[in-house]
Amino acid sequence: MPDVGKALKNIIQSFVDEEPKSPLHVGEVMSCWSYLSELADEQVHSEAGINSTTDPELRKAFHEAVKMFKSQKERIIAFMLSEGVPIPPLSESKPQSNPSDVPLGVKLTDDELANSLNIKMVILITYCANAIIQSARNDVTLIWMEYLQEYMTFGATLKELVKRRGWLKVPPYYYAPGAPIK
Amino acid sequence: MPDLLQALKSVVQSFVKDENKTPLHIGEAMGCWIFLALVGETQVQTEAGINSTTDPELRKALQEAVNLFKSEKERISAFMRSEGIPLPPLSESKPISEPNSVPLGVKLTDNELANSLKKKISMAITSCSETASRSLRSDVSLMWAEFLQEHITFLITFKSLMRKRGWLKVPPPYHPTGLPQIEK
Repeated sequence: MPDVGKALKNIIQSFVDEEPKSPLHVGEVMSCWSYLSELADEQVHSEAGINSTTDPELRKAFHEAVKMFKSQKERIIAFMLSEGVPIPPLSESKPQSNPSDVPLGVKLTDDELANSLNIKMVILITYCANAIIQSARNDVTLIWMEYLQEYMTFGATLKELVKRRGWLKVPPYYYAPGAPIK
Repeated sequence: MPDLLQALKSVVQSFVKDENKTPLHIGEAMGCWIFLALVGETQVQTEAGINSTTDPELRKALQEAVNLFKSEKERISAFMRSEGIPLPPLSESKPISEPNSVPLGVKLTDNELANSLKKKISMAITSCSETASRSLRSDVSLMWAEFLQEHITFLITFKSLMRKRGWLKVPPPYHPTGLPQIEK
């Protein structure tokens, strides 16, 4: 798949270079704004997730997610500032703390944490896809495509982990009556 | 608004009685399954939220949300069982614990808790309306309309609490150029 992506990127890049830049439209600004506010929340929640579990694999996945959120946050803030878009109020990073000190009324189980990370991916992927649909400027589309691709890559690894550890929830299978037995 | 909804309900109700019940289609089944999985997770996380804050107003709102999720969970589980749809694995309720003993690396601030509840409700609204639009059987549509209405009603009250406490994040205002200045 990377080749197709690269090709697409090149094609769009060629447009971007010649295209006279119009100001962002309200939909594009709204996507950036709400995405950034969402992203910062997810980062903080994932940091709280790291502080809630001792499972090395899950901690690693959360660390990777936090790294990805942070890098995306920086990039989108830089873009928004350059376009004169105000930044939403953002949550601050959580300090490190001991997972075994968390009261059980607040501590999420590994299963719940893994699934919450999954839900975060679903939300963010939806945001990116919606933003791509709404974007009129090609350079903006490109930003969202990059983020989307990062989530797809991360999500594929995450799903493998979640499946292996038995955390994946699978909807009921579809058995068509009279289907040939394999 | 309740009157309008009541009217709508009775209209749909009349259809429901006459309609021959067909088996659910896969989209309806998927909608129920996903919604139950989502509500189950959300309920547990909201309970963890109650155990993270000492703010009475926020605790009250979170408790109301938990009650809402619980009642929806019961209703949809009963419906799914009656239609033969398997239930997704659900998380168990959290015990009560002391908010002040939560380490700061895990404790979410009141602002973060409020915003995460708002996001959860928004997700539920999206999920309900998506499934409602996919449903063909009137009794199923009616169930989703009911859930949708409950979430929207909750969100309206909750949003005013968030605004009062300064937790609401508002996107940049829209200033069209050349708008006549009207005294407000």
